Amino acid sequence: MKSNPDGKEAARGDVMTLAVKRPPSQLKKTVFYIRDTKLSGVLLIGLLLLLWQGLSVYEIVHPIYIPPVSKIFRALYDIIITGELPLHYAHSLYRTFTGYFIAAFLAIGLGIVIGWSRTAFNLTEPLTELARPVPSPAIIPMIILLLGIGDQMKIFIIGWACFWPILVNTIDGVRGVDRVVVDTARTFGSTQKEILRKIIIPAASPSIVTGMRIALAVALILTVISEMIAGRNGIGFFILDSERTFRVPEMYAGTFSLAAVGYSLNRVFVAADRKFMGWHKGMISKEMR
Amino acid sequence: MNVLVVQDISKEFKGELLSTLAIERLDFKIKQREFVSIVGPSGCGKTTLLMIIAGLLTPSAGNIAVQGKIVSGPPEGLVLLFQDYSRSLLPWRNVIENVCYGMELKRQKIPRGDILPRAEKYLEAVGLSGFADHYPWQLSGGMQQRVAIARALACEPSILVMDEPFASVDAQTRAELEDTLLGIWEKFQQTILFVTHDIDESIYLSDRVLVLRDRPSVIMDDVTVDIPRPRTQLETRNCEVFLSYRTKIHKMIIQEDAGKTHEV
Repeated sequence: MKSNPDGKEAARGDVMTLAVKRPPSQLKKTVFYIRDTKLSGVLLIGLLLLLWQGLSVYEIVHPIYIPPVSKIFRALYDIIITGELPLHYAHSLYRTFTGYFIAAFLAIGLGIVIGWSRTAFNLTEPLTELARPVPSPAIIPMIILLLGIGDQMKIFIIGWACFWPILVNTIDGVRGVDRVVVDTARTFGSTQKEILRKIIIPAASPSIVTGMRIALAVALILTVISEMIAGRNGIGFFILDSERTFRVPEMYAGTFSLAAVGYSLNRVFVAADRKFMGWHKGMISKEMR
Repeated sequence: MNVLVVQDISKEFKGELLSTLAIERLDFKIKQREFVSIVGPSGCGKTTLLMIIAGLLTPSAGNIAVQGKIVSGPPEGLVLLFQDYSRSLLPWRNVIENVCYGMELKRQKIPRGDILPRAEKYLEAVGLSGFADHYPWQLSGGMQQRVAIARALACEPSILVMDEPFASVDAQTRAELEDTLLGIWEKFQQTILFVTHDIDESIYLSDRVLVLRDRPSVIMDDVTVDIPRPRTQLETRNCEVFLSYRTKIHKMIIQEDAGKTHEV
């Protein structure tokens, strides 16, 4: 052994040799990999489904009301193959996106005006603060009276619900634009139009995107609710109708499918966000560091 | 020819109870190719003055003329560089796109095809050719301010106005930026109005130093700096003339401060 007056250093040296001597086993490596990635989360879902299956098969829960997962996936497969589910989704997603995009178009446009003009803000703020907190389903009866029970009503409700989060976030985004950036633009002689196009809109875009992301989830919720209340098609109708006609596995299958659709929509959104808002992600992560 | 004429400017901020006179009858001229600094204690209304010169604020009395034209709104041919580079650059644009910003505007009347080559030219002048694709937040503070300088220069303004541009970088970077600025000033025959609270910096850079008193801002003295160019950080800052200018301006500001205290 080296005679080292600095005991600490010697101790550290020992630990180093120990670590080198024993490389982690393959099993340990796998466990670490699972723990350090989202694979653990995926495994958890698998375990829960397995638990569900067991509870149902061994009749610890009532298998008629809570059918085994295998039956649910079987039903899901069947309603996809027969085209029943895709047809319902075609109706649903048409409503979801029509409502969503009309709302986004109007809310972003209005939000920019309200955020930019003090007068417009003062004029509209009390109204929006009053209208916004009303839970959107609460206006469904009123809209049925006015627009009937068809697509118009559903698209209106979806659009109404999506409108608010996008509007509020757009206003916030525009109002939050740094004065220095605007002043800089003005000293270069930017016209109002140029400031709006080249400064305000890009600067507010992260906030607008946040609003649109919230609205996307809201759109799906209102699609299902409005279809459950009235109509003869769409995923919301399908789930409720399956329950009423005692097609219990199909009912669950419809709900499961919404998880997949909601997840996919969000993934698409995240991918688009990353492509167009990359600068913002980079900036934020730098500030967090 | 005078590029900038500031004529009897006053600015009063009217409050509900009392009004503050921020600037009182300020008067000075800047000739073409001159490098003029305004030096004064923090909070002496320097920024207010610059906002007025840049047409972002209207004076309560008096006139500003840039290239013989009376200012109402941001004047053509004048670019203001803010102290806060991290907030004045556009984070969604990369470096070269930031430099292009001013040139893209309708008022500059620059043909589309000329914008990019010109941006590259000025980016090179500030020593950042290799960073065109970087985003502002990927650069150090000094580099960000260089981008802002390139963006201002690219518009080829008849006068460049800088508001404490190097106040928030470290001493080493600051010295580098000062020398880069002097190089640019000479190379492009630029006229510069430079505001700082650093007396040494003002002497090192300028042909003339305007010493400002605070609240209300009045020019106490207009010091012509008679130190030959090219100037260097080591020699110039240690030469006797430099030190005597420094003492002179320092005394002026300190005496003024002492006088203020007695008044109170």
